[in-house]
Amino acid sequence: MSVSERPIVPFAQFVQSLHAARAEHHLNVPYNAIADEGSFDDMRAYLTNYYDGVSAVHSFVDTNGSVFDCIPVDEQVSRRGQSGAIPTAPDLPTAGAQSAASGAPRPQAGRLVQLHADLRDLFGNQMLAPDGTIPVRRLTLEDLSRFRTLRHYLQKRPGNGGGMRPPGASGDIEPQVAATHRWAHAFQNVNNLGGGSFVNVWDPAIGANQIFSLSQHWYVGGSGSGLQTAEVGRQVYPGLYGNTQPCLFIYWTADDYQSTGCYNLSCSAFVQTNQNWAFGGALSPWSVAGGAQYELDIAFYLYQGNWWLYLGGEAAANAVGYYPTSIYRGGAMASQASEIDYGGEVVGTTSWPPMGGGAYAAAGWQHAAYQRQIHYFPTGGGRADASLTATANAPCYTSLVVNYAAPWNETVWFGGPGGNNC
Amino acid sequence: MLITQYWLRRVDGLANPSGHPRSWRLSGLLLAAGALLVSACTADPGSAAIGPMTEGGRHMPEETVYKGRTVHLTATRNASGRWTGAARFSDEPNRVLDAEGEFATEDEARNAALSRAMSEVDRERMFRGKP
Repeated sequence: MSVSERPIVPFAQFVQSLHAARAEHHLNVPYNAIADEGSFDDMRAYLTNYYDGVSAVHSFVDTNGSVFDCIPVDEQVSRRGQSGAIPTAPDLPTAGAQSAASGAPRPQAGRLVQLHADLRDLFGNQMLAPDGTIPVRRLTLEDLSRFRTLRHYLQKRPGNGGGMRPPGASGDIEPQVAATHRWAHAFQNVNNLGGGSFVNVWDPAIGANQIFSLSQHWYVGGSGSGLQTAEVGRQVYPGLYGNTQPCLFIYWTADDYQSTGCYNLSCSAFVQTNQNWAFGGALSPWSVAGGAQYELDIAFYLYQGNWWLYLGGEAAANAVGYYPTSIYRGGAMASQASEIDYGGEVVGTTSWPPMGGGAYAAAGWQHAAYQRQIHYFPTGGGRADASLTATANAPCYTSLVVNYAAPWNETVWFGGPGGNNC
Repeated sequence: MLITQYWLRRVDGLANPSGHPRSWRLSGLLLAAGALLVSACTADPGSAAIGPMTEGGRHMPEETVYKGRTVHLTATRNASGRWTGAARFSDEPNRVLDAEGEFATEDEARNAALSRAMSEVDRERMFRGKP
């Protein structure tokens, strides 16, 4: 029986199992990387606290085999202890005078969603969170066991890659092998309240000694140790999600990735308000080289003290939730971002994975990954087409910015095969 | 009804955008090959998403900020009338990063210099990012 065919463990039983878990069941187990019994205790304490006081009214499993528990909105970790009402998202700004000359308006898509009442999982469970709840990917000890310590799971620091067992690795992990990042992307320095684009979805293969491959937006403010970001995109990250398919993700940092920041809903930061989207959940179908292309409309918008995330459209109903600016502790991103950035990122230790479909930027349509119709929201209101500058870690990856007529407008092509000499 | 596939937008009716780009900007290390790509794609405009610049490029500033580092961009016209670009960081004023190649316009030269500077910052930040 494959993982995806196992019945879903009832939520209450799952939580009970966390309290009963013993270190010896997770230490020295193939594919686990936990450093020692103390690290295991930290992980178990983190999870029992994460689920303390949480109830689930429904659960389902996605096409990647991940379990999602549907919990009341106010029971998510970012809402605990908060009594205020959840704010209301606005529709995204339309093109105003500032961008009237920059291109045609964005085509209005239907309301695209990741989860829907008509979807059923392998067991017949509806793949939608009931009204008043949100789907939260079930965090398990098995997930955390792929990292050496809880800190390795939650935080970035130099050499962190040695803290996770790379997929396909065997034998002892080697902490001295540092994970390093590579990028192929395009950026603009402009004060902004967020922005958006259509993100092309691919499923790059992640091999031995490779960590992840993604395509995303970065909204950046501050500098040095005060560098702050709000990030969103799609990511293939077997070590984090336990599967090899693209997943929807968000990330943030308030201190240049040092001691703050986390993926998805794994710490108190993002407040999810929408029942139709599942962070860490599968995004499918994905694009095929020379064939069908798939994309997702993504935007961030700072409105009344919250960085609202929009997926699949621009109406208020497409708002998925928000990062409250309080997480930026009065830093730059508490009031605006000063950089927009779009493209791909990979991480590896001694080898780096393909980016996008594995083709270089110049291969273009149906081969290279892209983000199109890239725009931002100026601090003065409205929206404007981006005007980006491309850069990439050659020779493994390249990027290319092209300004087309609508509906492509400002577009970045990016990607590459990766390899051992990046 | 058993449906297990999520819904993403399939890109139907969206033409290959290769036909008439208004401008293109390569990453720095591709710039040297840029001229060759332009000529090749002019001959077969449907073959790739690269084509001749038909409108002016962006206006590049003389100073910008990338990942919190201030970058000064300069462009110099040589005897043949073409432009070269260079970048330097405000916190390392003696370190000059020359963009590879020569360019038709001042803005292109500055853009290439910025791309080079971005590449340097990225390389220095390879240990920073999401875990």
